[in-house]
Amino acid sequence: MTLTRDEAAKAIAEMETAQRRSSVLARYSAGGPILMIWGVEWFICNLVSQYGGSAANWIWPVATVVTIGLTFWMSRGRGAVPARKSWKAFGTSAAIAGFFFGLFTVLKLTDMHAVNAVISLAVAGAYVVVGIWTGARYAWLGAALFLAIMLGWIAFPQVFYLWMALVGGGALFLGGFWLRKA
Amino acid sequence: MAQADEIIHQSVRLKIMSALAAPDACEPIEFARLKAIAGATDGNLGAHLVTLEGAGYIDIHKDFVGKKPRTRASATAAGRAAFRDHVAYLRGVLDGL
Repeated sequence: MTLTRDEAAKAIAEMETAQRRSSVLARYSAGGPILMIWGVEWFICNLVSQYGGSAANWIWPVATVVTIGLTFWMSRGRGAVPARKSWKAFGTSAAIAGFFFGLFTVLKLTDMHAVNAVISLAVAGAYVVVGIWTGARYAWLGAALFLAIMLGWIAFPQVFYLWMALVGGGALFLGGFWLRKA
Repeated sequence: MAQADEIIHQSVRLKIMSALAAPDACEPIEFARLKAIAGATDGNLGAHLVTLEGAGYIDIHKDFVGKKPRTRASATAAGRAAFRDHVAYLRGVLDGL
């Protein structure tokens, strides 16, 4: 069997497209369950913030540390974050946490609704950026999350935590389910 | 110079092998995902998987997740080698070797 240059070029293009598609779908599948656990974390923590009184003071740091731990455990060797790069992902998380600590200190931001909204909007924005570079589904999910957060902030300020629990956490959970099915 | 592999060269089979024999492919890939990658129908994909399995290029794994049947495929060592050779042939043609 002998192929012409055009046939070979077409075959290579098909092969590269298939490999790109395969990588994107693998990333979706690996990232989906992680988004789902963050959806559960948002749901629980926001619900406690709305109705749990002082428990809101400790639920966020505890649940966030637990969820970050679960994220690394689920990511290792599953394609979401290659094992050899997990320390970079950990460093990235620490840098982001440090950035927000600095940001809120400089802005003297003590309204916990605003803190919640800013962090959540940053997460949504990050998904849009990740989606632009790695797979459109992340971008759609980030955009939907961004709009949902803004709608909750503008239209339902009295029940913002409840909104974030149901709509924010729900969007992450369902979005993760959508990715996992890829 | 490497030779063209007639089994792998067919468009759907090339896409299947591209996914299964990619350097970063370390786990079997599910039927539904292969369908999305290859852009094939159930029947079409099934037939091409059987052809690749018959050539010894892939293994097909059938099991159950709960009560749901699951079909996955992975490249064999022979399949990875044949795919590498076929890609080398294609690049050779492009480079005019």
